[in-house]
Amino acid sequence: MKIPTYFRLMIMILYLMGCLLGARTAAGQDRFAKGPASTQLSHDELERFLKRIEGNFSTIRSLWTEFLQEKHLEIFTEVVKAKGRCIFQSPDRIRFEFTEPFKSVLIVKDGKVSKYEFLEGKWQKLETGQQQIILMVLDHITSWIRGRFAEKKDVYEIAVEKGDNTRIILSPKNEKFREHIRSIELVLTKEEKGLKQIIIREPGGDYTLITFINEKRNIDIPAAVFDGSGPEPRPSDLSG
Amino acid sequence: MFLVVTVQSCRPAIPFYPGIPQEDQGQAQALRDRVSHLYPRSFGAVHRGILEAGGKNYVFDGYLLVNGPDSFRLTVKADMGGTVFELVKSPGRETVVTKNSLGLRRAWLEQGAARDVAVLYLRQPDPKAQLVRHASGSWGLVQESTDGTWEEFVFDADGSHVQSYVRSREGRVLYRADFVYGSFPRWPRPTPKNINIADYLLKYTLKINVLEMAEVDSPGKGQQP
Repeated sequence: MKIPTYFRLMIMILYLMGCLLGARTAAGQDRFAKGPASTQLSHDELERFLKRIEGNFSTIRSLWTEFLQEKHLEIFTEVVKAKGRCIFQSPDRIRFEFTEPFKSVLIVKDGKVSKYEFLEGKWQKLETGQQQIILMVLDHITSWIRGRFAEKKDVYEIAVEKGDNTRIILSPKNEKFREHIRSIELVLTKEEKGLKQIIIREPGGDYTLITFINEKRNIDIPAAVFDGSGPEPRPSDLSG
Repeated sequence: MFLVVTVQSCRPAIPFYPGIPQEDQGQAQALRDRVSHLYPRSFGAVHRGILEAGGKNYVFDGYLLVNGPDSFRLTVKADMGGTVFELVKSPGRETVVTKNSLGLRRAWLEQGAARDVAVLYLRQPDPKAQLVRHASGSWGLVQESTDGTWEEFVFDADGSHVQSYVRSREGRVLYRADFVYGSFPRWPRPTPKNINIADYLLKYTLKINVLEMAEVDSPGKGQQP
């Protein structure tokens, strides 16, 4: 089966989006559900903004943050919720995991992907069929963590909207890609120094809302957090 | 319950051992009732699935809405969003693939994934299914589905739970689903919480973790299968 590269790329971009930037926020609210409705920047304002954001984000060496995920699906009247955490260590180590209602861990370190799923009472290490795609996506993720959004202008139309919270809106340029993902919205904190939320919108109305909480920035993260060599993932909470 | 990544047809090697026919209409009816009362008439369910095919694993999230014995809507998404495929079945009609973003073979979706949904949630033993008992003590209701293919609902020894669903032909297992039960806050009876599917013809396994299940009164607009 041939999976279009652009779509595989975006699946993994979306999968790892939660680890982009640290954030502090109140509990996630759905006021962003209907999409942006505020003042857009001009081209020159956009260029200046992106440069400023890159400067704001350039101090990030490590991130440890929890997140709340909400899936708003047309098929259900109720929101499907999950919790997890995301950990980043410059320049290219990432751990993205779900903790409730299921446990799943994805680790990228030294160019290698490790994926775990907790099923029937035990961890299972998976041979993921998407290794190369994940690594390809890492380049995008690293750019965004450093605030280098302009580097991906060949993939996305980039717009910024000012409002209560500034939003960076990425719209895929590729038509086929847009059939799957309509847009990705990065909602910044009020200080524009971190990410508050990510909204992934699909054609047809489904969207995923990720809200970041309990951010810790530039802390020492144990190397074991990114250890994907064992049959089980090492703990990633900071209580120990 | 979802897609098939590779298709490798070969003679399955898992033998199937039939049970001994029994004549006990009361027991047969009790077992049929176990299946028919397992789920509410209309419900929604959230799944986490790991597909293994071709030596690789693929993780998906499955969202299912069932409305009656012959109607469902299944949306399968990648880990953090992006619909992989969607199936809709309306009463009396064939399953329709309404979305297929990866260009998967429609036959696989209509006959594979749709078949999985039917097996797990919709299929019922025929009133004329033969009651059998296995050497292990487990009960079974057996019926012929297509030419030479048999399907069996296997129950535990006291008949209280459906343990497995098995399809076989010429003494070989073609497909089986095994159930591990659990409870959900919004459904009073234990139902399968972990489901392990093995398709020996198409060479894939599917492990499903049912995360949530709840009865719905009646699907609203936009939810209708």
